[in-house]
Amino acid sequence: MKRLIILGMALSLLTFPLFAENSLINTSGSKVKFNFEVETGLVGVLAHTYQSGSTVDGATSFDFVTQGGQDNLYPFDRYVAGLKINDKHKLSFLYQPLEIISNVTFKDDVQIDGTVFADGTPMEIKYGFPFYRFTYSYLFLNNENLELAAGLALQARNASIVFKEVSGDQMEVSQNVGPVPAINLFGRYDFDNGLYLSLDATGLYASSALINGATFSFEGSILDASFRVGYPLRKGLDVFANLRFLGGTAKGDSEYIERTWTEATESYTSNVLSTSSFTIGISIY
Amino acid sequence: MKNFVKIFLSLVLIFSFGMASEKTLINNSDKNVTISFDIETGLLGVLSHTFQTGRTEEGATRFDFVKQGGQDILFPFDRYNANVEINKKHKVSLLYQPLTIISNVTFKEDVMMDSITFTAGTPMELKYGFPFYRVTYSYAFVNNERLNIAAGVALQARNANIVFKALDGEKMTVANNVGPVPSLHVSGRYNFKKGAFLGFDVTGLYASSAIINGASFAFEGSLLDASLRAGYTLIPGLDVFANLRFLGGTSKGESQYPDRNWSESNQRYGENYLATSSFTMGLSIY
Repeated sequence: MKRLIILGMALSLLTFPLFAENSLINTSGSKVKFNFEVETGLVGVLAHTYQSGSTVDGATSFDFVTQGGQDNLYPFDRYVAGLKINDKHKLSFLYQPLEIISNVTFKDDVQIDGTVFADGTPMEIKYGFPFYRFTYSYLFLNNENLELAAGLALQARNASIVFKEVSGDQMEVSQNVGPVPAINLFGRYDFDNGLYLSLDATGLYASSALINGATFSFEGSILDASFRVGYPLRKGLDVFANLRFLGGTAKGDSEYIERTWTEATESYTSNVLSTSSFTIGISIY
Repeated sequence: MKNFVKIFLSLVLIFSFGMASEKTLINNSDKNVTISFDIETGLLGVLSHTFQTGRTEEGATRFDFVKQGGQDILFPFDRYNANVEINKKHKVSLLYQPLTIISNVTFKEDVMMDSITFTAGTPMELKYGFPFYRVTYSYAFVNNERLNIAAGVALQARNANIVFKALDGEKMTVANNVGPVPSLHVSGRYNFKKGAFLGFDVTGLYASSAIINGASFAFEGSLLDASLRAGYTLIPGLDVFANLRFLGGTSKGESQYPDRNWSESNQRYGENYLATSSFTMGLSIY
C-alpha cells in the first residue's frame, strides 16, 4: 500500500502539463479527483497494557510503557490515497505503519500466554499493529469555506506481537488479522488567506460479538482522531501539521485460538493502547 | 521519513520544469508565509564518547565507546528540517535528527554497566540511540539580499535508547530517556553575487541548574550543534550545499528518575560525553 501510494504520487505528477488551474494532478472538469497524502513525524505511547491469559491463571497485565520499553518516541508515517466524485462522495485508502521494537530486561516474572519469562531475562519485544483502512464518506456540506462529511470505514487490523528472550530460549507470538468497522466524521474550515483547520475522526465502540466479525463475545474500540492545520503552497499542493490521538481497546475471550501456530494459546486477551503523534505532511490534489 | 523525502524530491523535479523564472519552487512568491525544506545526507565520525552508569567507587566502568565500543568507524548521517518563515522576520523550524549507532565488539576486559558486569571475552551488541526532535524559533535582525542574521530559542526532545546486550542473551542493560532540552540559537548567511553563499548555524546551551533541564534535581548538561555551510543556488528555489558540523553534548549527575520504568537505569549516577563531527551534502527547497 505504501509503495502504491508513493508510485501513485509519482505517476500522477507526470500529468504536470495537464494540470487544471487549481490542481496539480487532476484535469479541469473531471468529476473524479484524486488526492494523495504523506505524513511523517513522531509518536509517543501514552498508555499501553496487554494481557494474554486470564489473571486467575497467573497471566500478567503487562504495561508496555513502564515495563516494556515503550517509553521513547518513535518515528511515525502515514499514507493516504483518495478520490472525490462529483464533490460529494469521498473514498480513501489508508496505510498506517505501526511497529515498535524494544529491548528491556524484566525486573519481575512476566507470564504471557502461559509462558513465564523470569525476572532478570533480557527481552526483545515487538508490538506490530499496522493497519489498512477503506473509508467512504458523504459530503453533507461543501462550499468554499466549509466541508462536513460523515461515512463508514472498514479497517483491517494486522497484529503481530512477539515476546522473545534475547537468548532465544523462549518466545511467545500472537498474530491476528481481522476486520474492524468504524464510523468516520470529517470537517474542514478554509480561511480566506488559504490557511485551513480540519478534524478527522474514525472510531467505534462495540461490545456486540457480531460487529467485530466474530461469533463470540468480545469488546473492543478504536479511535483515530486528528486535528490538522494546513496551508496551500500552490494550487494542488498543501503542507500541513497534524496532531493525532490513535488508540484502541480489545478485551474478551476468543474462540480463535491455536488455529495457526502463531495464534495465542490462551483464549482471554486484553489490549489497551493509546498514543499521540505529531506529524508534518503534504497533500497533492 | 525516507519516503517523504523521495516524494518531495519528485515534486521538486516536476516543479523545476518551466518555473525557474520565479524566485521559488514551492511557494507563492506574493505570500507572506513561505515554507522551505532542508535535506542532508553524509557521514559521521565519533570524536570522543564516554558513558558511565553507576558510581566509579562502586565499580562502574567509564566506558569509552570509541576505543572499547566499536564506534571507531564512520557512520551514515542524515538530517531533515522543515521551516516556516513569516514576513521574512519570524522563522519556525522543525528538525528531525536521526542518530543511532549499533556496533559489535567482544569485550577485552570486564565492563560494569548499571550494576551488571559483562565479563572479558563476551561478544556484545551495543546500541547508542540518541535521535532528537527540535523546534526552533528565530527572529531575523538583519535580512537583506546579501545578509541574514537571526537569533532565537530552541526546544529539543532528547530520545535516548542505550542498550548493552550480551549476544548470548544472558545479560542486557537498557537506558531509555525522553525529556526536553531548551537551548539558544544563532544563525547567519552571506549571499555572494553569483549565487554562492556561506552560512553558519549554532544551537547550544550549558546548564548546571536543575530547573532548566526539566528535572527537580541537580544535573549538569550541555549541548552544542554547530555547522558551517557553503552552498550554491542551482535555480531559484533550489540550493545545494555542503555542511561541516560539530554535534555534541554532555550530561553528568544524579537522577531522581531511576527505575520508574524497567527500561530506565537502576543506578542514579550517570555520565555521558559525546562529540561528533559530520560532513554532509544536501538540498534546500523553498
